[in-house]
Amino acid sequence: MKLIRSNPFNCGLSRVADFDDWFRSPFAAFPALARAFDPREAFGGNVGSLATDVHEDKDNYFARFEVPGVKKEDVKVELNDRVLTVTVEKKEKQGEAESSYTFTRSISVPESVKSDAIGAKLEDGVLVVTLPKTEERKPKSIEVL
Amino acid sequence: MTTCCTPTQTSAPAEAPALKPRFVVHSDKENYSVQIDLPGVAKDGVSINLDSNVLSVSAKRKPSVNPGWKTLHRELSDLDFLLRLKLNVPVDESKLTAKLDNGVLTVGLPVKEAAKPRRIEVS
Repeated sequence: MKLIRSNPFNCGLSRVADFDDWFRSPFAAFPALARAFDPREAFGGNVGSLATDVHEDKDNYFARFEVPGVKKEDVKVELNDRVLTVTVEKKEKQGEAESSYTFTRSISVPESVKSDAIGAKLEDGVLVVTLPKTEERKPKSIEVL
Repeated sequence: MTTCCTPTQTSAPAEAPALKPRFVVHSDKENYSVQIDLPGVAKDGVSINLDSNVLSVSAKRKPSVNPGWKTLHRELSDLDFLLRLKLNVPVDESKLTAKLDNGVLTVGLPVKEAAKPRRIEVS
């Protein structure tokens, strides 16, 4: 599973073949260098971008996002051509004044994800997107005869 | 409510490291309300304490990772939250309210009668 930030400036540097590879050797392709040249990082971090944690177990990948104050109806999860995009809108109302902020994040997911069985759950301000693996990606135990 | 102290300034050395949550303070004549972002915290994980004029809110996160999960990528912190705010207005301790909704805690602090601005008519 690999994560990408859609940014024209660092696409060359951050194109790591596979997320698993990146995790084993995080400095391959110099993501730190890429970050230094990322205009969004340079101007105070993730403006309008969502941080994420990615976990896996035998059957699923899980992507977690922190979205405090966001209601269920303001969360949009889309899978388009192996790119999972999560967009949330946070609406704040204070008396007469109303403001709304949009945060978004795109993650590229492996081909082996069942795109029609993706689930998302919002609880206590944390969104968990469950991406089930297809059969061939699951570890198989082979019996010795 | 203008002054706030960061956890590091006031915490006892034995305290576990904690994250200062993002918060917003709104006020009108009668009330102060503090909205604190506490993602991943359940209702029973929050404790609110008003000691003389310091409001402390500490919040414990629910475990974010199931035991069988393998972590592939990490950007989020899993530290617990601690926020201390020094109040410069006397508040009515008996009427404090707190509500946790979608990971946002709203604490209502009604201003004490004596501290409200009063209008004196000239006779």
